Amino acid sequence: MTDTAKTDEETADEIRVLVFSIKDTWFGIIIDQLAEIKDLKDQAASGEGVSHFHELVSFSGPPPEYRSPHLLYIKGAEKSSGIVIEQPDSILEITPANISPLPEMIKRTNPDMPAWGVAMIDTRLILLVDANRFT
Amino acid sequence: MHQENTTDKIDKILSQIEKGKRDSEIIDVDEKKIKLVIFTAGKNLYAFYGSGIKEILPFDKINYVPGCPEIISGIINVRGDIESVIDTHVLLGEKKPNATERSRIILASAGGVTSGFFVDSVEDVIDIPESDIAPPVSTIEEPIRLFISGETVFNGHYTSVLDIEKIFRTIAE
Repeated sequence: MTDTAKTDEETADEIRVLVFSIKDTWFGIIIDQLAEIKDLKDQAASGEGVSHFHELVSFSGPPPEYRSPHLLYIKGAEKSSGIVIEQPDSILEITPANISPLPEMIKRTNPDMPAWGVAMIDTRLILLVDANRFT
Repeated sequence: MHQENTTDKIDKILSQIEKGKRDSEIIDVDEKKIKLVIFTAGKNLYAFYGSGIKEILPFDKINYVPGCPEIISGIINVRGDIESVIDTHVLLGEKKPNATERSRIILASAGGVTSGFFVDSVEDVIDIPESDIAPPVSTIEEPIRLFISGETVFNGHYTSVLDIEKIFRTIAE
């Protein structure tokens, strides 16, 4: 076994996750599901095919203000469609030991929820979202 | 002769004591005790059966989960396990207060489901005879009526005893 193969084997279970927050709730999307991330800077965060993340996950209450909007393009989705998120906080490597499934009561009361698990990083709970559910 | 009488008397006394002991043991067995966790939500007292309670936790940050019904406050981390939290105020139609130092999360389990319940305070954990729990009064309105399994009195106040499994079933429906 070569050193490279050994390294691949050791890290096979880890996932690389793009982490961002909206209204104090943390979300993570597996990097491999993303085709591109674009900083919108002063560009309008709207247009045909563009959805805001808070709408896709059904946030309650008044809509959040996106201070530094970024546009995500999901692999396999149409090129013209994108999802607006707040500026990404970090990219984390998360091991399965730090991931829990969603509690049964959340799954039963919110079957359309695109989250598939919860990562526990320090004191943060990060809802891991399956981006393929948006395509 | 006198010695024999005394021996008889002692035997009778011992026998009487033994019988009394057996009788009292029988009474203890008959008096089935039920453990209740008494808590407040809004202005009212409620209780859970102790058998369904895993833990009483101090109130900590509840993490919001978008898309859940209002009755689900969110999720918490219990030493590495992620658990949902049910808002008892929404469940029981009580006024929703802010969390205080007395607020608690009661972690309960029933029918293969575990969840926390956000309550205003835990007043006591008591053992009472089963007969002290009366059937629920018929005037209780729905939806609360669906998961009240009995009524008891705690410190002179009516206390509704809630069925955790029925609550889980009702919320998940």
